[in-house]
Amino acid sequence: MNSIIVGIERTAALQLNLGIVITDGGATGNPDAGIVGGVGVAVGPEVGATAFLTFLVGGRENFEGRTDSLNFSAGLELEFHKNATTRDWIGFTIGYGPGAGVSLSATNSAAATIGDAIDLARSIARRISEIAGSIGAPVAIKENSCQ
Amino acid sequence: MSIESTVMSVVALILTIPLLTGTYALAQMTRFVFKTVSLRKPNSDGLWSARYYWNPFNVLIMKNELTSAGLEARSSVIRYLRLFLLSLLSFALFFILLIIISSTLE
Repeated sequence: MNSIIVGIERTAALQLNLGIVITDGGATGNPDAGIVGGVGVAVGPEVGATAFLTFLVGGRENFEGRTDSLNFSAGLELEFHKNATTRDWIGFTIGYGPGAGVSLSATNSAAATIGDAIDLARSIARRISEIAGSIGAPVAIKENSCQ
Repeated sequence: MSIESTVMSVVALILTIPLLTGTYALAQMTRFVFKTVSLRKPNSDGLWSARYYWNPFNVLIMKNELTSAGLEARSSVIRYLRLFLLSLLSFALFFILLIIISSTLE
């Protein structure tokens, strides 16, 4: 397993989840951590709210984007996740909290990580360096420019 | 130390704090949910059943009558849930601030 998500989830036709993700990046990415949130629809008689722990193979490609899940809940919750693009089973969730039922859900998730923030910070720092450099640089004056 | 590495270190440090706080809050919240469940009173028929209500966070919370310790535990669930949400919100707000600064400087 390459990624772990801890968070909270609410399922009642509309599925909402919010959590903290830690990943080693999988085969292609870098180690990272951040927040991840998802909105989706659930079909089936399930109502619940859980604190959950998710284990996923792979990195960002599996915790961001569309995921299809099969959910069982009766106090304890168990979910199995499938990447909607590759159709591969990518991991599972165990949760604990009030609720009961079975449902199928399709969720779209987005993540913001420290790695993304560092990329943004790098571009900000570069821009600041450029601005500072251009202020400190001598201005070229063309001789006899007034004539 | 260059400006670039200083800014990157500060950003990483600032964003690590809400992630650690959020993880702590979630662990505490789960602990108090367990505690709340164990401190409920049985129903009038002597059976243990789970009845729930929707709280302001749209999260299902057990409605069974609770002992006073159980009531305290339930309020702790809400308190740590609020801390978890605030931690993630502060992470998101700082991230949005970075995006705004970055696009302003471009």
